[in-house]
Amino acid sequence: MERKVIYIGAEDILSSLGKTAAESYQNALTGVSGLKKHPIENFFTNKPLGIIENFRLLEDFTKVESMCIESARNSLSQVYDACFLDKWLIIISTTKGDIGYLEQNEIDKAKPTYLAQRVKGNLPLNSEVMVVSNACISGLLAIITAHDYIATGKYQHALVIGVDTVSKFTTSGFESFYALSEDPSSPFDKNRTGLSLGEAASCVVLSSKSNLFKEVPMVFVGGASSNDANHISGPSRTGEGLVRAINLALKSANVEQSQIDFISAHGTGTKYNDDMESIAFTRCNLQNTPVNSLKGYFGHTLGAAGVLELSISMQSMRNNMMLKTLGCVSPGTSEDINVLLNNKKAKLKTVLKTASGFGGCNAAVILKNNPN
Amino acid sequence: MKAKASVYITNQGITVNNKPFFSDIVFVDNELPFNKIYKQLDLNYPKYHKMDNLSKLGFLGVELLKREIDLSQYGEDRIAQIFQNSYSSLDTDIVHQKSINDKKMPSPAVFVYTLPNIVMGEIAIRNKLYGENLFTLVDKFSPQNWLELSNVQLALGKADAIMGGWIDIFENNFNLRLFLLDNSREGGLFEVK
Repeated sequence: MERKVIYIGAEDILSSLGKTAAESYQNALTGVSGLKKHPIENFFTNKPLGIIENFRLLEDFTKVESMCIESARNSLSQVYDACFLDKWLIIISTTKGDIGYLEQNEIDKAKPTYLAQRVKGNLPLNSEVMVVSNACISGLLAIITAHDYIATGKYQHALVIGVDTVSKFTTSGFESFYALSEDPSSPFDKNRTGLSLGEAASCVVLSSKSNLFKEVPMVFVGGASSNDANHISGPSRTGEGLVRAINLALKSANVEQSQIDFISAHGTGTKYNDDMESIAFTRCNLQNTPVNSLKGYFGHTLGAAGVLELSISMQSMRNNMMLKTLGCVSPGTSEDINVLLNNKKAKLKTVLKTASGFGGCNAAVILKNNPN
Repeated sequence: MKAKASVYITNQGITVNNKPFFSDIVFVDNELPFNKIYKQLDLNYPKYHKMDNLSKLGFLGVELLKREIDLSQYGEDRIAQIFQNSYSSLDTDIVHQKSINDKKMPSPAVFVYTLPNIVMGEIAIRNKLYGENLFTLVDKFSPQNWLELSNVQLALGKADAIMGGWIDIFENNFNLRLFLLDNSREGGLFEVK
């Protein structure tokens, strides 16, 4: 069976750094961070957060719904609308959806499937909708699932929407773990003290047709997930699951380690996570490959993170520019890896994106620049 | 496509491969039967007692499934877990939310279970499963949808077997429909429903 080529493009980001992928990328390029402190009564914590401020809600929609719809519409404006009649799948990736409803004890509305129906009903697609909720790898897993569905011919196109907002629910939980950093998170730095939370909606479109996209898309060449089978909240000391996910992604992409030009890591800024990633990259012989984490710009956007960070990587591929790891001054992890401390021009042909999350889950995705 | 083995744990009772199981356990309203099942299985797994109810349900289901099928026949990274539900982790989310409403410091031991995929982590740890994980949310169990997702992974060679199905709990209502499918030619005997 000849393998179908699956394209990915039409990336959009609605974040604390901008209203589009290009705007978020441009702000990151100039070293701007969306992380700042807010009054403790707003979000349970006074640690830095990446909040989308002055966001105008769509009438009769919550912030989460409005963010999804706005980002999805932006993403769909980057594909030819004649294709809206084709067979689409919408996948929403989220950890907590509209969890704010829980404060009022509105259980049915707090279900992410309710969010999915609200969003789907306001997009011009003839499609089914599903929700992927798999901790911090949700975004990459949603993209992998979209790819797999298209590869087996079930759908022609998929719109993946990653979303999570900063809520008292999540900030209080991470505070209870003592996981939030006093200063904006500084991934891979030797003095890192924890993560910063952020909020975002981010979208990509996957398709078997390259002429769907107004701008040249990338090619999705491989993706996989793996479990550490070790601990539900602590990263594996050996990076086992991440090593397996990367190796499976490389194998499915038919790509050698040496061909990876750049890694967009998970890099939360917690001691154990970043150490784990350094061990896993070294075990995969990727310790010399330039690597960044974007958490110092956007914070950890949970269910949106995989989509957002892959979208920034796609912007990097379009611009042949790798972004520095904002906040990292002196790298210091269990194994030495090649953390980007400055923005760097480079021809980016093949890019690896990884993520890891609670429940011991890990995911890896590999994109290539479209050869045409 | 039929499953090699199936386990149902619902408010009506337990069946394993379509046969009633542990029928002497009486399911009482307003009381979850999980600890009774655990006791009857005669297990010694201290981690069980720290789990939330969603994880207990999945953990016990897999323990029952293993009575009918030997998981070690598949490679340690060749069993994918694919689960679905409707309530996500809301059964535990409300516990975490209550501590926020009551202005108490939330418990990290509760917070870690406020994600639906944690049950797959617990099953992976117990059974040393390094395979793919996927947790999706849908309004109600659609065997067709779950089989489709499973077949996609088998067709692409990402796994040799799929373990999962429907796992939902909210307060005193629970429903596990657990299946094991594989890519063997002969297939299984048990309908996914």
